[in-house]
Amino acid sequence: MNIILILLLIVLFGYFLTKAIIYDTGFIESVGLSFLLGMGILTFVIFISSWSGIHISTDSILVMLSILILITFFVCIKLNRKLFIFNHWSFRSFNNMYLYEKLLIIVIVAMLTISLLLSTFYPITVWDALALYDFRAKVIAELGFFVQIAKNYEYFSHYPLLTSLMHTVYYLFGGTNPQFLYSIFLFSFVAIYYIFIRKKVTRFTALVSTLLMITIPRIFEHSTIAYTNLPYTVFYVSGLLYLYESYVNERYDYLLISSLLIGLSTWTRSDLPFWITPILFVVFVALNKKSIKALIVYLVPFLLIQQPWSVFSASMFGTGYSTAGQLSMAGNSLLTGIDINRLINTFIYLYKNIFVEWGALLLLFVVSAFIQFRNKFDKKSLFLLLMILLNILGLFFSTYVFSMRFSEWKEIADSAVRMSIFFPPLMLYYITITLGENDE
Amino acid sequence: MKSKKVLHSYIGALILAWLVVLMLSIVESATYPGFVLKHLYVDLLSIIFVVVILGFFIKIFLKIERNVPNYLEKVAICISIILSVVVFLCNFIEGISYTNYIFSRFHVHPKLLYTPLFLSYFGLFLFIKKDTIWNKSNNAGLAKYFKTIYKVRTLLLIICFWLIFQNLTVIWQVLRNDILFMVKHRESTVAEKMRYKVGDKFYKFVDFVQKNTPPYSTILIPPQGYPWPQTGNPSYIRYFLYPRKVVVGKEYEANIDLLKSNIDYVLIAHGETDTTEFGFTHGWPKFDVPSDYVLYMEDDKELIRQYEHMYLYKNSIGKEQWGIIKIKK
Repeated sequence: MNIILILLLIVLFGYFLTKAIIYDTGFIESVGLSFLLGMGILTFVIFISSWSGIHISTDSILVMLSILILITFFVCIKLNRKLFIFNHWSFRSFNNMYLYEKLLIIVIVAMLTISLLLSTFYPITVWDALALYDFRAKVIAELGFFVQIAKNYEYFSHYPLLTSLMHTVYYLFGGTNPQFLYSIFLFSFVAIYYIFIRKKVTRFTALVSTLLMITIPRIFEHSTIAYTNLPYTVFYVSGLLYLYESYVNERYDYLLISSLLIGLSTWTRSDLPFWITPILFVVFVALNKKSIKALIVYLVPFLLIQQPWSVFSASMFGTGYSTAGQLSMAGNSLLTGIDINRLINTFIYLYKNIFVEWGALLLLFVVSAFIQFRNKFDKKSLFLLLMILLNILGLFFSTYVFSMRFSEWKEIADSAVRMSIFFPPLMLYYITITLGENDE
Repeated sequence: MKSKKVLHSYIGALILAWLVVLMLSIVESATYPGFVLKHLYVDLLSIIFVVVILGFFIKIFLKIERNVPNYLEKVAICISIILSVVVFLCNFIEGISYTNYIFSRFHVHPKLLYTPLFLSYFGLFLFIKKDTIWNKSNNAGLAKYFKTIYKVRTLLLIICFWLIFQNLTVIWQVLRNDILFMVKHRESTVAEKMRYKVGDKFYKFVDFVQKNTPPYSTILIPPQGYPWPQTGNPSYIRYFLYPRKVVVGKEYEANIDLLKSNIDYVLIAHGETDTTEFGFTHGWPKFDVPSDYVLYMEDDKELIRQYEHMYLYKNSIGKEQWGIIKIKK
């Protein structure tokens, strides 16, 4: 019972935070964002508070959560947000849908149900979760601290704490198997993805695209296991979609949400360099508009979330593990001469292990890009293409830099594949809005 | 006149190059990966890469559209339609049969067919004329284009559903055993589920070690690598043995003074996999250990406790043994 209560409180906090930032979210979008923001921000606050000496326990978590709920609730009241007023069209309109649309929804719901059944039925057994994420969750739940005890354990501090603290909260409140939370990440992602797609294309096209997204094998598989890759994908892709929408609709509230989501992606996994792409994008927008506002709105929350773990990593492993240190090392690898042979090998490695797996999706992406390039209209969606291409470049160069530093770089192909599971949903979104039929 | 001749020669070379790589990729999918490299001493991927780059260059910068023969456009469309249908059918038939069905029946590698498929679409990109796709005088936007060209939208829809089906097939292949186990063993306990997932041998062993060692003891484990991928991985096995501490040993020595150190127990681990690496062989420890007693884990029998003053490696050669050695202090 306790665990249901704490999860509801987390979602409530996330809901108030969503409403405080975006005034016009619908029911589905609110549901999607509530869990992501609620769980992400709560785990971050727990980390910061325990670093400053507060014991992690059910009492302290309840106090923190209560404070967060109260603050966000009062902000909503102050801003006159319409709380708990749900748009009922989503229920009525199901009856009004065509049969084939209903069938698509049924298949999507069936897939989500299967994911939930699998993640609930099986205990946590995947390698990295046993070796790190779930192990330290149990240790933190037992000892009540992290920073203070991290040096006592080998392989304990190499990744940020979002998923581990998520498990810790679950264990402290009486749960025994937190793996179903990864299915909840998938639910949230489906909600956000559908809402964004639906703004651009017909309901049928949006449902087909959503079904295609949820059936991407790696995405679905990761919703049933306790790896960090799906949470990272959900945070990062959702963040990019909000970033893109903030640019298209010139909305700073979307930009703020994007900043929080991408910041939380670094709170899930800090070893991936893709957070640089949105920053470049925001810098470009700021330069274009000759206004620093976008930069401040994006950078401040993002850095507030990203930097603490970077500082902690540097304190544990040396300055090379800070953000500046990592960027400096990467820069050195690139500036000390480009190895053409290694560049070619990197491309072949990525082609064989990642691009081939994308299969027909990559083909459709290339076709969509070609059509858009040739048509030269809707310049704003060209920026979405640019974001994706920058990420692909980031993947390429980060793999190249990794290969220069580690001789066994080719032996961890599975890690490379897992690192890039956010590309297919992003490409699919782009393909759908480029080739899909809109509601005109 | 001369520049037109040069342009025609570029186009001719491009057409020839495209046809050659297309044929080679089809041949490779009907033989085996690496066929082209073995017989022609050239990597197919490299040739395709070069042709694609050159094709982009020639198409975009030389604006070859007006000089491409009309029949070539029809050839490119036919080839891409035929290959699309073939690839779809191969994946569909394999999905409803079993992995490798297409190869065993028709000696065609379905996955390798994606290369000629990609090349056929690339051919469409190179040779299809703008007027075939949309009427320039209407200056139609993309939305109107897709509203009026129903055939293209239908094709996209077919591709989407094909992708969905293919994805579901892959998901079923990956998760089939888990789903079937879940359906057949709805009432299974956590221990039974763990044994299914992490391996029966390993889980039984760590359960045995947990029950027969005090919570705050320190245990020496085998070196990391097959045949001990789990028992020899300190980060992995500590999940099951925590709060016990684990220390990694070497294959032929403890790598630590057992008498002076705070090691309480040494695992006896034959190896949970048949595979080995780094020159390791089954059976550990491969050194003598001063012991208070040795506790063996036997299948379906009571535990056997032997009070031996020294665990002698030579007595365990050739035997599959699992257990723990209590260090003599």
